[in-house]
Amino acid sequence: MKKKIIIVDDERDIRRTVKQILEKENYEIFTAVNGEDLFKKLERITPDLILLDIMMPGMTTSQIIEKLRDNKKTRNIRIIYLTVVQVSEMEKIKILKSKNIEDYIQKPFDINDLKKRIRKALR
Amino acid sequence: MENLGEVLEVNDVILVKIKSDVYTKNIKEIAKILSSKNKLLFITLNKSSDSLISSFKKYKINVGNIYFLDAITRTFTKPRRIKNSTFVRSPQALTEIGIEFTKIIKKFKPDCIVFDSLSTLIIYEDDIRTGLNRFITSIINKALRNNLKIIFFCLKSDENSRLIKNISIVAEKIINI
Repeated sequence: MKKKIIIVDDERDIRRTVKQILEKENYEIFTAVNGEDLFKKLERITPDLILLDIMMPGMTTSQIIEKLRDNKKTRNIRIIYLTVVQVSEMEKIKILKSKNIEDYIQKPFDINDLKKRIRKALR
Repeated sequence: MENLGEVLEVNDVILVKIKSDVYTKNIKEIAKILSSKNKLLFITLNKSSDSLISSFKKYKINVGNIYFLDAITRTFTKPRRIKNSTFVRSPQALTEIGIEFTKIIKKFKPDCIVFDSLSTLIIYEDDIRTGLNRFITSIINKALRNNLKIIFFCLKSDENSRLIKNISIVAEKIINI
C-alpha cells in the first residue's frame, strides 16, 4: 500500500512541484493550503507524513502541532517542516527533539535530498 | 550598491528591493554597515533572531549594537531567552509588534530600524489587510517622531504588489539591488 503524504503550503508552486516529485516516488499525495485546510482533509485521510510549511496565513505552526497532538487520530502522524524560515542549529536540534517532528528542511531544497529525508522519515 | 551611509544622511524612510538570489548576502552587508556605527532595531518576520545572531557573528557583524524584534520564532517553537531579543506571537500580530516596537525604541534607543521583510507580510495580507496600512503608517510615524531612520526590505519580485507600491509612494529613497 502506498504511503500517504499531505503537503501543507500556501504557495501553489511548492505544492505542485513537491507533489510531482513525490508521486514519481510512488507516494499518494494530498495537499492543503493552510492549517484549516489540513484539518478538513484530515477528517477523511490519515496520512503517514505531513510536510508542513511554517510561514502560512491563518493558524500558526504551533497551533497546528498542538491541534494534531490533541487528537488521538492525528497525534502520531510524523511531520517534516519544509520551509523558507531560517533557524539556528540549536533551534533545529530543539525542534527535532519534539515528538513526531522528523526533520527540518529549508527551502530551496535539493530534490534528491528531499526524497532521501522523506524516505528516512517514513522508515 | 549606493553608499548607504550617505543615503541615510538625507533620507529617513528607505525601501530596498533585493533580488532573491542575493537577498541574504545583502541583508548581512547592510546590517554590517548599519551596526558598525549605529544602534539598530532589526525586525525579523522570516528568520529567527537566534539564526540571525549566529550568521551575523560569522559575518563579523557587531550584534551588540542590534536589538531583534522576532515575529517568527514563536510561530513554531518556544524561543529560548536571548539578550536583546523580544519575541512576538506571529507576523500577523501587528498590534503586538507595534507595542513592542514602541517599548524597544524607548528602552534600546536605536538610531535606525530595519524591517525584514515586507515580502513576508504579503503572505499574510489576506488575513491582516485592514490593519496592514495602518500598521506600516504607524511604525513609520513612530520612527520619524523619534528621529529614527527606517529601512524596509522586500524581494524585487514583489515590487508590483499593492503593499510594496504603497510603501514606494512614502519612501524617500528606493534602492534596487
